[in-house]
Amino acid sequence: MSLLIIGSIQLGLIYGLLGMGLYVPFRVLDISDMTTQGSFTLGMVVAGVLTVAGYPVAGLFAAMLCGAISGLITGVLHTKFRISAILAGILTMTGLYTVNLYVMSGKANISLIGKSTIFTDFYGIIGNELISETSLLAIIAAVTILIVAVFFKTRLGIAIRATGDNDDMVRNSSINSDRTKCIGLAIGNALTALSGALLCHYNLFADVNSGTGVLVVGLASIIIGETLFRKNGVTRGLIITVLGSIVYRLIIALALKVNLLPSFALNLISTLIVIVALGFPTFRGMMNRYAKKRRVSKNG
Amino acid sequence: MGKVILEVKNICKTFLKDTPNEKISLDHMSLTLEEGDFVTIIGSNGAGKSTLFNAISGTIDIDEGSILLDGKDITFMKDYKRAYEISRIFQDPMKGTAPNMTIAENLALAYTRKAGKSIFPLNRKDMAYFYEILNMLDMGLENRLNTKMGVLSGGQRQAVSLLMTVISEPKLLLLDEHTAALDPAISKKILELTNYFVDKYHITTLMITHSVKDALENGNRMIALANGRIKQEFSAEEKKLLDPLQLAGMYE
Repeated sequence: MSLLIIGSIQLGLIYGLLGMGLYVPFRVLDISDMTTQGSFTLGMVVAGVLTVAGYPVAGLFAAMLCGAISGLITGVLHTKFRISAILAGILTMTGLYTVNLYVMSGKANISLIGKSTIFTDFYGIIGNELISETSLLAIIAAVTILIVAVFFKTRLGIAIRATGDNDDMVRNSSINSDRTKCIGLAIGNALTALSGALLCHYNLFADVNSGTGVLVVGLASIIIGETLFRKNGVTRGLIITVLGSIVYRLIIALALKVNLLPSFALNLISTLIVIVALGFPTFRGMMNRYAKKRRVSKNG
Repeated sequence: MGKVILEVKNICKTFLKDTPNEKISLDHMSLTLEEGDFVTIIGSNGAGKSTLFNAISGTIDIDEGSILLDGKDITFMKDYKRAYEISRIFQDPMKGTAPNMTIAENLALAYTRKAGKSIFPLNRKDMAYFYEILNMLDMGLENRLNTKMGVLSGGQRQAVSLLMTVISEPKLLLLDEHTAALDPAISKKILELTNYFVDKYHITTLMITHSVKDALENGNRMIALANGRIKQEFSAEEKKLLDPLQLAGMYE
C-alpha cells in the first residue's frame, strides 16, 4: 500500500510538470494550447535518444529547448498567421508526430534499460531507490515552481499575465502582445517536454504514442487542484496544480487497485474527472435554483 | 505658435469599398495639434470620430494621407509601437485595465515603457511612486495597491486608467468618450481629474464626447465632425459665444 502511495507521488510529481506546462497557456494566457501531445512526446524521445547516447542530464535541457521551440511554432502560427489557437496547436502537434519518429530514426520506441539515467546517477549518492527517486523528483518540481513563479513577477512575466487578462491593454501599454503570447507558449511547452523527458527516465523507455491523452491528464491536475484548494495568483496556481496531479494519480492508483476498471480505462477516467469538475458548478447552480423554486411555490 | 505635436494630413478611410455597404468614414481629413492643445470632438454616430482615433493609434490602416507625431511619420508604424507615445482611454472601463491583476501590477505594466530598467516591477521605489500618484485621486486607492482591479467600480477603474496614462508620459492623449459609461457625479469627478492632469503635465489631448456641454466646457479648441470631414472648428473664444442648445440640435 505504501508503495502504491509513493508510486503515485512520484508519477504525480512528473505529471505535475505537465500540469504546469498546461497551466501557463490555459490559465495565465487564456489560450487553449493543443501542442501538448506533441511536445510531451518530443521531450520524451529527445531525452531518450540523448540518454542512450550517454547524456542523461543534457537530454533534459535539450528536451526543454525542443519543447520551447514547438511552443514557439504554435505561437507564430497563431499570432503571425492568424490561425486560431486550437488549430495552430493541432497543426504543430500533428507535424511533431513525424519529427518524433525522425528523432528516434524511424523507430516507434526505444529502451533505456541498462543505461545511466538521472535516477541511477542520483541513486549512487543516496543509496535507497524509493527515497532517491522521490526526493530527486520533488527537488526538480520545487525548483521549477520557484523559477516559473519568480519569472511571473518580473516585468516580462507581468506582461505575459496581463496578455491573458486584457490583450488590448497590453498593446496600449506599448508591449507587443504577439511576443508575450509566443514566450508564454514556449515556456508552457518547455515544461511539458520536461515532464515527458522525466517520464522517459522513470519508465526507461520512449514511445512515439505516449502523448495520447496527456492534455486531459494535465487539465485534470489543474482542475482537481483548483477544486480542492483555493486558487489565488500564479505561484499558488502552480503549486496546487502539482498537488492536484498527485491526488489524481492516487485516485487512479486506487481505482486500479480495487479492480474497479481495467488499466486501459485510464483515458476515460481522466475525461470523466474533467467533465464532472467542469460541469459541477453549473449542476450545483441548477440544484440551488430547483430548491429555491420548490420553496417559493410551497410558501406561495 | 507652439511646437506641432500631431499632424493629420488629408487622411481617407473607406470601409467595405466597392460594395453596396460602402462607408466613407474619413474623407480627406486634416488636423493639426500644437503642444498643450486640448481639443474636444463632437459629431453624431458614424461621423468618423472613433475611426479618426483608430487611425491615429494604428488599430486600422488608412487608405490615403499621412499622420505625423512630433514631426515623425507614423503612418505605417505598428499600434503597440505608437502606444509608446500615444495613450488612449476607452468608454468601457473594462477595456483599460486588467481585472485579475492588482492596482499596483496594472500601474506597473503601464509604467514599464518609461520606468527604469529594473527586473522586478513591484520594487520599493516604483511602489512609493504609485502610492504618491494614487493619493492625488483622493479615492483612498493608495492603501489598496494589492487589491484586484476587477473589484473596483467603473469610476475607480477609469481614474486608475487615467493615472496609467499620466505615468506613461505620452506626447498625445486620446480620450474616447471616457466618461460616457459613468454616472453624472463620477463623470464630473473624472473630467476634473482629466483637466487637472492634462494641465499639470501639459499633455496634448483629443477628447471625443457626446455631451455638447462637456465639449464646450473643456479644452481650448473644439471641432465638429460630420460624414468624415471637419465641418466646423471653434477656438476658445468662439466656444464661449456658442449656444449649447443650438449646437446640440446639430450634433447630439
